[in-house]
Amino acid sequence: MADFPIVGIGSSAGGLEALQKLFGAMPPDSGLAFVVAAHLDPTQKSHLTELLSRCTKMPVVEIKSSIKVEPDHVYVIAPDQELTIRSGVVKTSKPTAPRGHRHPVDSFFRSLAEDQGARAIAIVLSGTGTNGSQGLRFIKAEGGIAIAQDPETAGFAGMPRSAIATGIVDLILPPEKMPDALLNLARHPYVRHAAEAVAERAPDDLYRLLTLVRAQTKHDFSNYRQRTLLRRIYRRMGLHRIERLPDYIERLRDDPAEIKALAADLTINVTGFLRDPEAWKVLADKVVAPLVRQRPDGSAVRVWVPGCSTGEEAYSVAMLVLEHAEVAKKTLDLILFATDVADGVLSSARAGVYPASIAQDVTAARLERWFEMEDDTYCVKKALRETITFAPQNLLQDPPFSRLDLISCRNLLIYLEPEIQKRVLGLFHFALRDGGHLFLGPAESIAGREDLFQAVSSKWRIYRRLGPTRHDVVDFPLIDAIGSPHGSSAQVEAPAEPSDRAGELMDRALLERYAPASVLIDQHFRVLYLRGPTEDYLRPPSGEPSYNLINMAREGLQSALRAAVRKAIKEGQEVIGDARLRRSRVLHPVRFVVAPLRFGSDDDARRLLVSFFEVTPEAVEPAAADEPADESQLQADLDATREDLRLTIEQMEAANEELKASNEEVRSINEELQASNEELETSKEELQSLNEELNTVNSQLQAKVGELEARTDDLNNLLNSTDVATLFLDRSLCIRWFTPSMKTLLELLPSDLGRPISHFAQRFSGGELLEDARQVLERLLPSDAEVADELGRWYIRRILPYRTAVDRIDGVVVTFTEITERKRREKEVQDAKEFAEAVVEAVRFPLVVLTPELRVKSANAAFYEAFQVTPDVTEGRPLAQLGNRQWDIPELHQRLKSVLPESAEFVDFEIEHDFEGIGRRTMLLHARRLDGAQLILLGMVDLTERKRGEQERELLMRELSHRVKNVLAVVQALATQTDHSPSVEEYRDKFVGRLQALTRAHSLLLDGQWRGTDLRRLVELELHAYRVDHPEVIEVEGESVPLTANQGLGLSLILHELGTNAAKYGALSQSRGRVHVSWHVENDDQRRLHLRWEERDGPPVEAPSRRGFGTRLVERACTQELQGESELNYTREGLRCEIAFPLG
Amino acid sequence: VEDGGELTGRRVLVVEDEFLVAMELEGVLLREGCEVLGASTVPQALAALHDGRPEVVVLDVNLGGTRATPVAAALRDRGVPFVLITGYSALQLSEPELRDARRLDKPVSGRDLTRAVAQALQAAQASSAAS
Repeated sequence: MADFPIVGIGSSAGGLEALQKLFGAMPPDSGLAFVVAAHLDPTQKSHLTELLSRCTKMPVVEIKSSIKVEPDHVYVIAPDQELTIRSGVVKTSKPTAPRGHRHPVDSFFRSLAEDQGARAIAIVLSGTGTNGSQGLRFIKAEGGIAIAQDPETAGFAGMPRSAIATGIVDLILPPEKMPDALLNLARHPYVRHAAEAVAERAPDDLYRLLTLVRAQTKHDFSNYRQRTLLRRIYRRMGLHRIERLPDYIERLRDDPAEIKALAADLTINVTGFLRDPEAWKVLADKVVAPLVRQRPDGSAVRVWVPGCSTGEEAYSVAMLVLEHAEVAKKTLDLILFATDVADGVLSSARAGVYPASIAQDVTAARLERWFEMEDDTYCVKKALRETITFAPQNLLQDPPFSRLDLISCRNLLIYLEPEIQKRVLGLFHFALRDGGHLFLGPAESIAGREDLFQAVSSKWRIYRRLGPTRHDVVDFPLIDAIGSPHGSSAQVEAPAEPSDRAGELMDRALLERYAPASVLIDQHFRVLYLRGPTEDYLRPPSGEPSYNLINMAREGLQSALRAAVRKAIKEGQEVIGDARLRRSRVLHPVRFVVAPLRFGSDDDARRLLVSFFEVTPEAVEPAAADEPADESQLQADLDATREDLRLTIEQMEAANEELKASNEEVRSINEELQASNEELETSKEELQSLNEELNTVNSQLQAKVGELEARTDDLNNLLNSTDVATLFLDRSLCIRWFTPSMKTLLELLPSDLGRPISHFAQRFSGGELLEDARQVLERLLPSDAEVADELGRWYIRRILPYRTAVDRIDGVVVTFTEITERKRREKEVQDAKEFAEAVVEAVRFPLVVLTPELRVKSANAAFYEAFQVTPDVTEGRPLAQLGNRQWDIPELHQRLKSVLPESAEFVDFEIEHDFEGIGRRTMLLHARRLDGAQLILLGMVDLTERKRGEQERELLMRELSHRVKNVLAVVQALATQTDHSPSVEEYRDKFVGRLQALTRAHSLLLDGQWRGTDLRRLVELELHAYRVDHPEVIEVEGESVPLTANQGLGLSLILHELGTNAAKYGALSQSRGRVHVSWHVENDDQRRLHLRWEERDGPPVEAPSRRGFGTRLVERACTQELQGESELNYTREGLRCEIAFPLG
Repeated sequence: VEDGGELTGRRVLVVEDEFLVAMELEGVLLREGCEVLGASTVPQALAALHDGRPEVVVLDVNLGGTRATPVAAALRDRGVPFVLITGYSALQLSEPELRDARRLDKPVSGRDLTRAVAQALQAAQASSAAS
């Protein structure tokens, strides 16, 4: 063993910084050796060695295969290696556990503890997980020093925290303070000369110290092994830099906390799940399985685990029992008491939380069945936890449990002095039911108590309780309880023996008085019970006390007794034997009876009763010292001896046979084992290759994890930086996640995760979020909606199905993009557009909106009306192709194409063109380029009507002037030709009358638009003046006959002349005179009108001597204006005028 | 030219659709001693021209809505002098047959008519003498 301390350092993530600080502050000549077991990436080359050599002057060496540890050196683990240390030599090996289940720090610490014992110092630095915590337990159990980095200073506090949580860490320090503490430890005699320190004998001081501890903690360690105690006490002294025991005792007096810490250290007990798997296998097969088999369904199974420490052993037992019960399909009521003196460990045992490294000991199936993985720890499931009662109990002071089926007490006896061990075993014997089992640690045995227990597996220290309850071996408390809370009541609580009753008392008295001296033995000659005065026949042998009947038998009785017992066992019958006992030089004949008693079929349960009878000397031969008597006595002895020898030889031969058979069996087993071994070799190779594969897969996974982390970071940053509020809902539309900007939108809080979105969705009007989300889930089609919140802000709400990597729909993603500003602008644009469209529509002249390619985008109603087309044959078509290419006007296109790109508009471009449907038109065109909209506005004014109007007006003016002149010419003609009368008044009357007739005719014709008039109306109008007062004077008879304007004019003048003449000279000059006007139309080859004017009852008339203007007017009007004839007859009755003319 | 004497016996065709005006024009010319022929339409005028062989013609431009142009053309062909009587302005007489013709605006006074007819006759005589 090296005579310098070896410091094991475990680190993982963030460990480099701590290591650099530690070694930076470490003097190079400390005399310490350092082994760094860092958790490195197995796939990467490590630069740790290089980096550490920069901060220390000590040589830094990467460990390759194996190396002897020297002081003032730093040894660094290589990637993908595990370290072990044996006899001061560090060895590397390929890790056997798969990646993710490796705990290189734990395994190295364990090895360091086993190799270096109390000189081991272990430091846990920064890292994640629980690596190292388990290893520290081993360090501490061997009396080493456990140091953890102050989590405040660690980059990753997981490993230090986990280590501290075990409660066994001695020092918690920042890395730069560690060298100081290490140097102090290194100089302390405890570390420097551990062996000597332990060897130091200071019984008085130790006694004082233990008394102090006992007074303070109620724990009495005086029965613990002194070596162990001293080692641990010196260890604590080392931590406090105290070199002498008395000084430490002084310290303890002032510092109750240190007493507690010391007591805790003294009770340290390393335990583990199913530690020594083979032992547990044997336990399962030989103890648990038969136990479960024998027990009826529903019965109780009682187990006690004293010194349970942190509970691993207790949970292991519970798992075994429950698993077997499950296999046997039985429900057993498992009552498991797990006790320990230390309260601290009990609470962690109750919590049942263990580091991930227990996966090394516990199979995956068991982990799955009994544990729950939480972060980096395994937590015992409730079902297992509830079977165990954890309680504080001091094995040495408090009364035990009883009627137990099994006691598992591993690695506790070793801490006790041998004498106390024996007493504890007696206690266990008492506590177990008959046939109950005891399970001890590999270094423990039932030494000295073979009478109480029988080995079931001596290799794995499994024993069965023998014989009845032996009160003589139990005397709890095993030690004096000083102020123990359990102390006084201990004996009361112990199961009391049933009180003797009168019958039993009498039985016993009778037996004492009359029964022969007897002894009950088992088949192995072991004395179980003695009754009566057996001292005459038996005596304690010298040497080790023994209960063997033969050993105890007095001289002369032994051989006969052995032979008789064997015979009785063999034959199963009572055997009577005789022997001679030499008592005070006198031979006394003795008769004994060996009677086999049967308690069961089991050989082990076979019992024999041996009774001794005193034979009176008279009945035999006198005890005289005569020759023949002596001779016959010797002869009898010889016979007995021969018989004994023969039986012994027989037995030996039988045993030999058995051994031969066994040998055969062993050989065949060996064969089998070799075959199995080969199979295992093969399996191992397969496993190795599988392991390779797994490693590959794992490294791929590692890479993937790295990628994933990067993506996650990217994604988080993206989501945090974007203003697009995003909401993830699961299939039941509960909130799964949301981006920060979502908080303000729906007033979400982080605590709202998992709540149904229906609680929040009311904040938005329009677009039912819930309904839409359901639809998206149903149809798997995205949905967009514009929604407004209470404040009138607008958002585009898009819902998309949430697809997982395997393309499963696992909810929806809802995004909200604010579009308030856009929405406002959109509305403005929309308003402007509507305004523009309204203007276009409202304009009364045609407007066409063209694209730059001269396609019609739209046209207004005026356009469709003007060109008699409909929108469906217009919109979207090229202008040139509209309605039979009627707009294919080269000049227009040329203008639009060439002029517009240069200037924004052209105006008043006049074209004349034949348009289909509406004929030739004159158009005034205006075009304007709308740069923003990339459109051309083409407006047109139809000038055709206006031009025509202008022309017509001019024509009309000329016509009017012409007519006025004509009329004036006619008036002049009337004026000049009207006969000059004797008086001016008469002339004027005539002229004015004719002018009025002409005017009336014009008026009439004007009413008929100068296109003609009706004869009857004309007649009535012209003769109206004469008929106003006396309509009967002129009788009008005739149909309506349409007349041309000229005909109307001519007839008016004619009728005027006739009327005037009649009023002046004819029938109308007298009141009874009558005029009859009639006409009819003749239809020969040509339609002719015949009109007759007949006067009667007037004064006598005669033809005038001179033809006046009136007459000429009538004639001329007939011939020229009417193209007809007239005839005037002056009859006796009165004037008759006949007119005929073609109607044409 | 002062006296109406030189119109006596002259054969004049009055082409006028307005019968009252025609009566007046004829009256004036009759009083001057002219032999008056009458027509009120283009065909009548052309017929009268052919049958009556007037020495001078008084021609109304508008004959019942029809232009008297063909009559004027015929008169020019034959070298018969004529006086246009019209309510139209000069602008409205754009046809070559009518454009430079002797013209009287309606209403026409008797004196103007006789003077114009006499001048037309003289001018015709002068031109025929010259040729």
